[in-house]
Amino acid sequence: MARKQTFERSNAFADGELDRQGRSDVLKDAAEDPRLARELSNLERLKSAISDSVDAPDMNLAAMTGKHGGHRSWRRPVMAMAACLVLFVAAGLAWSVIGPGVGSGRSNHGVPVAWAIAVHNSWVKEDAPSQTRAILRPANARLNAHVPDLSAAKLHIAHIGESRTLDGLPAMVIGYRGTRGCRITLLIDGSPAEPGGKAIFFKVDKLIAMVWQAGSLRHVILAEGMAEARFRLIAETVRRTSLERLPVDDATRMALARSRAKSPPCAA
Amino acid sequence: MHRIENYLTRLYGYAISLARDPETAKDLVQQCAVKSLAAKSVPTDESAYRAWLFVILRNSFLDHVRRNRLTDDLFEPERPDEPSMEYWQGDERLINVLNVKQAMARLRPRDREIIGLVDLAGLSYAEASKVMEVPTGTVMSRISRARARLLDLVDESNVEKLEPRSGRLKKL
Repeated sequence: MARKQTFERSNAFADGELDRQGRSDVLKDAAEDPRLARELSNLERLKSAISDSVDAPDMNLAAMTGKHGGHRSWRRPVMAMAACLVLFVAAGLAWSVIGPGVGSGRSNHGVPVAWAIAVHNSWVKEDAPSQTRAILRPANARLNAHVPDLSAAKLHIAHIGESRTLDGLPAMVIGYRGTRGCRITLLIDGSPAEPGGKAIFFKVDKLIAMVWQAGSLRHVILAEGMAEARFRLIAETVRRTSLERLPVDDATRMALARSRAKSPPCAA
Repeated sequence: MHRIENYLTRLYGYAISLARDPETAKDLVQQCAVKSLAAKSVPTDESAYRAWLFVILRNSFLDHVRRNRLTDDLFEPERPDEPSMEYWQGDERLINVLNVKQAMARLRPRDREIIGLVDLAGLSYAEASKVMEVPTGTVMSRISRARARLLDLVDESNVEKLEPRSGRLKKL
């Protein structure tokens, strides 16, 4: 195969554009050719560095569509209409997602869904805390919880805080943010869940969640609008690390990176 | 949350790859948001909607180029010079955010655009092909060439050959 085609195939592999057979062929070739293996690794690094090279500002639609300067006065009616539309859609969405859970106290497998969604939505504006490590340690120690590193899935800790369950128990809240609109919330509290670490997976509207017990702690991980296969892999990784209390191994890191490359961005 | 809100950061990534200026990029995303919210007909399929948004942003950028009489080679035929595409020999530690950022600034607009669509906006080859109105195979070639050039620039900008010193050090 000509070098140009090989390089195009490596790029397609890195972008998650190959089918199962194609991926299998590349992995087989990489196992026999260290130069190809290094190329695939370099492309992963390059893609990661590119996506981290842009510091996106806070892109708030309401502020954006309300922004107008003197030379843009012609846009005002359109912006007003856009803002009304956004408010209307947001109100409808809020009712459809939060309303039923709040009104009826509906829960899934002992998890108060409305509470979980409210906590998930509460940290949306926050950025990564500058003293992440300092904050992590005491919170970690207090609940004796294991907070996994999900950087391989391009998810970075953006929020660490505390909340209380509807029963008044303290809960640790860890928010992870991705680069393509994805957010994941991990809730850890002392409420009883399914014993033995068995995972229970459930979906409510666009919310996708998993709950399990690790030691004396209930873990709930949830996301909105994330591709199910990607969420399942991340959730299973977090569950395993919470049970084993070990960092994410290299093979899993690779799988997380590939899963991200293959998945569409989150659409909440 | 309106569905466009999921794409604002990614639209900004594409916009900055086209415009290279944060303020212009924000303006382009704003124009795109306003136009899409005011549109009478919006694609319902998510993939089509995504591509549609990026087409709006691209057209806004081209309007901006024409309005300000800027030059841009997005529509010019590709130059025949090909990057080497040989196995990259550089030190992998050079592939970091700072070096890549500097190298991106030196890329041609056409290369920046495809990297913006695939790596910053996260579009699939099929979606990128719709935005640029080229076949999917062309996207595959362009992204390979763009990354090969980017790697060459990363290598060039960071490797300064040190001439071996001859003679003795001067006494201070």
